[in-house]
Amino acid sequence: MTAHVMCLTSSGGIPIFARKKGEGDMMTFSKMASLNGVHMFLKSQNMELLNTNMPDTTVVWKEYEECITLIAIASGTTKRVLNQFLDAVFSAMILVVGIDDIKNPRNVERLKRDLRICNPIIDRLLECLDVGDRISTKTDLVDLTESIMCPENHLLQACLEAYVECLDSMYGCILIHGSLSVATESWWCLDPVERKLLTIAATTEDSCTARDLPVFLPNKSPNVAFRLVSVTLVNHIEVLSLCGPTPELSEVERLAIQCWRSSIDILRAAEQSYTKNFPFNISLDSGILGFLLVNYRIGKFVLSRNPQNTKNRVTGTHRLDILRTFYHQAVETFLLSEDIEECQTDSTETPKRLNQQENGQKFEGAKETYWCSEYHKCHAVKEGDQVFCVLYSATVPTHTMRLITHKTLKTLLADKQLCW
Amino acid sequence: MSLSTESSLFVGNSILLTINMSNAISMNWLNSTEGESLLHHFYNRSTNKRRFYGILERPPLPSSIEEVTYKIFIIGRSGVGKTSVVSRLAGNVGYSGYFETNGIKKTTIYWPVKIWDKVVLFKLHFWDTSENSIKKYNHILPVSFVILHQACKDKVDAVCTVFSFDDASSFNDVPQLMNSMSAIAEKPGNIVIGTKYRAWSSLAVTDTQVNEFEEKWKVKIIRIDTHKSVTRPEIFDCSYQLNWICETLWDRDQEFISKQVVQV
Ligand SMILES: Nc1nc2c(ncn2[C@@H]2O[C@H](COP(=O)(O)OP(=O)(O)O)[C@@H](O)[C@H]2O)c(=O)[nH]1
Ligand SMILES: [Mg+2]
Repeated sequence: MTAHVMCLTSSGGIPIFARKKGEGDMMTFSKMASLNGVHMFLKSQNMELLNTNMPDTTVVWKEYEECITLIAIASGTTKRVLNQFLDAVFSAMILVVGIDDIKNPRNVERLKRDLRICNPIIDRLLECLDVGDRISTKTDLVDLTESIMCPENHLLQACLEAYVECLDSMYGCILIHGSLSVATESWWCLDPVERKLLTIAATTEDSCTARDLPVFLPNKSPNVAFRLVSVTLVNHIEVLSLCGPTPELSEVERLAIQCWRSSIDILRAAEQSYTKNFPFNISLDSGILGFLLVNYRIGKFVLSRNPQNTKNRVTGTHRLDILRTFYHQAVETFLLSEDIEECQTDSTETPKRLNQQENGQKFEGAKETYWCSEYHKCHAVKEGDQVFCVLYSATVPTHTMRLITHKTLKTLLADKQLCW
Repeated sequence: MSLSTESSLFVGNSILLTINMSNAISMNWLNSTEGESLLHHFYNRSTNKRRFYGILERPPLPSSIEEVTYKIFIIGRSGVGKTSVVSRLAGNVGYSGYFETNGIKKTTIYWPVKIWDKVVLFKLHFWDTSENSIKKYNHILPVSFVILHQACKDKVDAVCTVFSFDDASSFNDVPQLMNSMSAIAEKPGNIVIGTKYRAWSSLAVTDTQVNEFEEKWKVKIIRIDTHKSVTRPEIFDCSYQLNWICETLWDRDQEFISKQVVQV
């Protein structure tokens, strides 16, 4: 199965870039031109082409700032996810070149060249798409921050606050194996896609000791660049921050050593929570194969497999992929539809939806949902801002899933040291 | 350069008449019993991976082993393999796709060498960026542009010019590139690395050209193929290159010290 994304100028249909995931060839120029042609034609008729469905493939078109058209083609995923994905791709473009260069490119060839550094980011966003392939090494979601619950988080939080203050910044976070352990309040105030893109941008290449790269913030600062500075404190643990022109990289490193030197044991201990992603002292019910905990208000998630069950038949990333599929297909449809509606009316003011609300017929969204298949079952509950999805082995009776899910969620949320 | 202890001054003294390549470093030392006994600090045999250290860490070697720190700025035209070289020297193998480097990337590599009769730990800071990045910083962050460019060149011990064996023009650029950095106050040493090297095959840059270059500029050209598949622990496959880099840095220091000694 394959996913493609392509970017063209709206006015002339000049291709800017195309990326793909999965097997199969790159999109040919003529196919790209026809896909763009349909969109352009309808636009000339005052119609906006949004999407089309083929038996197992969806095509989504979206125009941005009246200058860029993005097209995504993918199988096995939902329109909602593809729309989010395209928004994230456009944000990635802003991240690297800023909105001005996109709106008023001095010349298209140059824009093309400048956008090349966006490629590794777009490839990682493609990885977030649930296209049913099993080659991905990581299960990620487009608009949520991948997190890790370490028992040391509350200690790291204090160090992080002191560190960003030293840098004269407000934005900082710690990544353990690429997953966020703690972040400053301002970091959480960034848009979820901004957070996603910043973590991707800082981790696209092989391990390095320190990085300093210019970034525009797609929502917060699309015209003025910041510096994203990351420093590897101990192997697999990086601290990220957004800085202005100063302090320069060597100085950042010096300050990092000063602020973190005494916390090296805490950092090493925190690293031990990987790959479990939640504390050792919490043990899961043996029927649980894995879980996905999402705070959809803040936009973050923890994905974990039950270490007791690693010998089980459904193993590896593939197993956790089921939870992602379940989340997109069942949870977002039934449990979060109200919130999705909120988001959509914010931006597009769909009249039909507004009518529904006037009638007082608004669908509040379900509290629970589940799937049963031959080898496993999925169960999700929504509680406050949290959605907790659990993957069970098929032997767990359907009616006990609810009990275990509630109990486990309570245990996870009770531990305040995790700074969830 | 942070060559601190007095003992190293003695070493400098004893080879006062520095020739260009002093062969102070034992090239095969990593395969010796002593080398092998320290290998686990740098290479993890159970995972077959190089050990990577964050800024708060260092290889836990006996404190008697001296550590020297160097800053190396990598230059060369876009696409010649600058980023791949650093990544390979840091222990990464396998092709992960070509992406242009964004911003500045700093990679620290710890490398033990045997110099004459003692083991010295080299801490090599490689600074990698791309021409485009520097231009872009200039364009979007006017204030810090100077700082950035300075950041790469500031207190630099060596400039490492990279060219590609399959692109003759990238090789012809090398003298000019080396020259462009000669104004730096610290008078950095010169390291030259040629990527995409394949033995026994015809390359755009020939062995004769390489020899002529080495003669003329008194600089050793280090050959590497970052994509070469490895059969033994990867660390043995780049020890030659890392040893040569250390040798160059060491010789430059000795020359510097010997000049000081002569002046006194
Ligand atoms: N076969 C081979 N390919 C290489 C070698 N070094 C670099 N490359 C490839 O050349 C391209 C550019 O490399 P990169 O390190 O990104 O170049 P940079 O722009 O100078 O940093 C990449 O596709 C690399 O995989 C080499 O020694 N052998
Ligand atoms: Mg590069």
